[in-house]
Amino acid sequence: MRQYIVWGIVTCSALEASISPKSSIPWIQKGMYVAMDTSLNENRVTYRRRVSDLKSWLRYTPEHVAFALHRITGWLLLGWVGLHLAIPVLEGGNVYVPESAAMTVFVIAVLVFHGFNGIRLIAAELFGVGISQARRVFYATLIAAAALVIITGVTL
Amino acid sequence: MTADTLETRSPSDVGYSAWILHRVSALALVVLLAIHLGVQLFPQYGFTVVAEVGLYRPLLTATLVLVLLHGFLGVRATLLETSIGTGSKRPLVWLVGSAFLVFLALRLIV
Repeated sequence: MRQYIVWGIVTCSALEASISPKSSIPWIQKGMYVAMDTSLNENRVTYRRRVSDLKSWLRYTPEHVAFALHRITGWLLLGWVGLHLAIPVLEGGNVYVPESAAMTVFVIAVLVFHGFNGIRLIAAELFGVGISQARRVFYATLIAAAALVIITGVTL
Repeated sequence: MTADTLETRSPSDVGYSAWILHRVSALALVVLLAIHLGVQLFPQYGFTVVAEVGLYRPLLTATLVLVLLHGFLGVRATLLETSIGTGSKRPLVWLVGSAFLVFLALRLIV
């Protein structure tokens, strides 16, 4: 069990921050966690969540929201990379730069949240920082990201 | 196999280099993207000095490489989290990696 917790923390502390040492394997069976198989070997599953189990979504905690938001912002940034760099190449240009400040601020907001939350994850994974106070640290991440976005938006 | 008997991976086993690369590229990107945004959006605050000393171009190339590497590893991690079978995951990861590599080559050449 300890291995599950350790690897849970290592693989995705956004989720595991909600795991306490008292937790037992059953929440894996209840469909609380996404299948994690970094070894490409189905026998090496670290944790599992059945996303299709809609009832399990009711048990979402801020840490789960952090996990989901990190993925969502990651995909949005990937979309931005496509818009900023890939499409212009296909059209014979160089880069796409948004003309509206609102679009710029939105991209920066997504980037800043992803970055701050990523730093929070690395701090938790490498140094165990904030794991016991995961929710507060996540809220602090949100506030810091929002503050930076506001400052950026104002000075833009 | 019950959940209690599931094997867990070891740091010295598989997937560790990808994990480290993902984190290292993330930390490097915090600095590189801050420079990129500074030069592009806030030249009035002195960020242009990076361009003036001739560092901006190489840093921009490094940013592109690391953005694509980090993006690929992120897509890979997301794919691995899904319940898609291993037989499908492996070719998908290779496909995504190849696409990112082609895109990088295109950006560097064009």
